Amino acid sequence: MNRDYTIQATCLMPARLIHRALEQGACFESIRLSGKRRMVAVCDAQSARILLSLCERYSVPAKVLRRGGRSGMLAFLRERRTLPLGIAVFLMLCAAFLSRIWWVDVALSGENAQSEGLAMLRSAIHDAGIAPGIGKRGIDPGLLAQRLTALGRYSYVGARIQGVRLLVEAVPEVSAPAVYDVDAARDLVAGMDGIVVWAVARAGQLCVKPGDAVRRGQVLIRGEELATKDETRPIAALGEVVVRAWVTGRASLPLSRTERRPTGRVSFATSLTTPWQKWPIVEGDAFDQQTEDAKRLPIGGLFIPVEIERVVRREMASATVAADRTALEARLAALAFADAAMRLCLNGPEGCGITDSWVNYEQTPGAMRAIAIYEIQSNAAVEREVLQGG
Amino acid sequence: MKKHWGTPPRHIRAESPALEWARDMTGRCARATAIGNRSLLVENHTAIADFSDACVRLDTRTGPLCVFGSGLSLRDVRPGALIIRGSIHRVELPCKGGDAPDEP
Repeated sequence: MNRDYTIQATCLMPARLIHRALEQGACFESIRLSGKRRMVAVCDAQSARILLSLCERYSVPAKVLRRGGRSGMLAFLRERRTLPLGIAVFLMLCAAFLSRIWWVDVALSGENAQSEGLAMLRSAIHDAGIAPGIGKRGIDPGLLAQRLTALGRYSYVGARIQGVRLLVEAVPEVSAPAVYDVDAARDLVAGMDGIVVWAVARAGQLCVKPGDAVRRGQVLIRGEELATKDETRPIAALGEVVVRAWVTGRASLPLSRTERRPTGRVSFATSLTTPWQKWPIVEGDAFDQQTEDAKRLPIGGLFIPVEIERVVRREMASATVAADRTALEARLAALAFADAAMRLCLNGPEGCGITDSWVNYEQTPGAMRAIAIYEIQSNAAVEREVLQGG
Repeated sequence: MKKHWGTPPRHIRAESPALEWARDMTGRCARATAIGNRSLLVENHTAIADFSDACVRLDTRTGPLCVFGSGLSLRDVRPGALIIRGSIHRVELPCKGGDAPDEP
C-alpha cells in the first residue's frame, strides 16, 4: 500500500464512512481524527477514489490535502505546463541581459591618480558611443583603449569586458620635471609666508632652518657654492623648503532674526465683483501689517461673471527672535570653511596638503563671527621669476 | 437454547486443545494481539462501529470489541484486519463467544 493521497473528510460518523469504503475494497494506510468530526485518511489512489466517491454520494465535505506518486506528479506537471515556456523566456531574457554592458567602471592608478579627475575619461568614453545598455559586439576594447590613449593625458589605458561590466583602467601621465640650466645662477625664494617645517638643499646654500618664519620673497636657498677657500661661484639652487601656512575664511551672521507672527486680530471684507466693477458690501478693518486671503464665490452661473469676493485680513506683528546658537554655529562654520576653501583655491600653492583645520567663534554686538582656519604644508621654494610672474 | 457450533463445551475443550485451533482457523472469532500498550492488532472484525480519539469500537461475530485510550488512530485498515495505535488503557473483549461461561 502506498501513501499517495491524504484526504480530509468532515462527517458525523467517520466509522460508518470507513466501513462503507472497506466494503467497496478500499484499504487505508492510516486514519486519525484531527478534530471532533474531522478525519484524515492516508491511502493509495484507488482507495482515494472510492472514499471521494462515497463522500460525494453522501454529500460529505472532503478535500485532498496531499497528492503524491505518479498521479500527483502528473497533476503537478499539468498545473505547471507553462513552466517550460517560462524557463525558455527566462533564459532568453538572461541571454539578452548578459549580452550587453550595464556597468562602465573607470579606475585610475599611478602617482597622479588622486589629482586626476575621472570626468574627462568618462566624457571621452561617452563620446566613443559607449554607455550602459550597449551590446558587447559593438565594443572593441583594444580600439577603445587606443582612442583613450590618443587623448594624450594617460601613459597607459586598458579596457576589458568582465561579464556585463566594462572596466577601463588608466594611468595618468606623470609630468616631466622642470628643465633648468645648471650653469645659470639662480636663488630659490619663498613663494608664501609661513614657518619652515623642514628644508633640504640639493645645490646651493640653505639660508633657513626648521622653525624659522619666512616672508614671501625671502631667499631660502642661495645659488652659490665655494669654488676655492675664499671664493664662491654662482650656481642654480636646487632643493625643497616645506613651510606650514594658514588660510583663513570668515563668516558672520546676526544673533537674532525678525519674524512676522499673527496677533490674532482678524477682519473680513466682502464685495460684489464683476470683471469691470467692484462694489463693496462689507468693508473690514485694515491693519498696518497684514496678510490677505481672498476667496471667490460665483453666484451668476457659467455665463454671468458675478462673484462675491471674501477677503480675510489677519494682522501681523514683527518680533525679534534669538537664533538657535548651535544651529547658528554650524551654519557659520560651514560658511567660514567654504570661504577658506575658496581662498585656498584662488591663492594657495599648487600641490599643498591640508594638515589640520579648526574654527573659532567671536561674538560681536548683535552678530556672531566665525573664523575657519586651514593649516597647510607646501613646498615654498620657487624661482624669483615665478614669484614675480604671479 | 441456541448453541454456537464454533464453541465446544468446556469439558470437551479442556480435553482436546486442537479444537481451539479449529475455531481459530474458521475465522469465526476475533483475534486481538497487543504489543505493549501502544499497538493492538485486531483481526476478523466485521465492521468499525465507532471511532474517536478515546474509543474504538469494532463489531465482531461474537460481539463488540472496545478499545479505550487516548490519541487512538487506525493503521493498515483492511477488510478484516486493522491496527489500533495510541495509548491504550483498556480493552473490552467480546464475551458472547466460547470463552464465556456456558449458560445452564
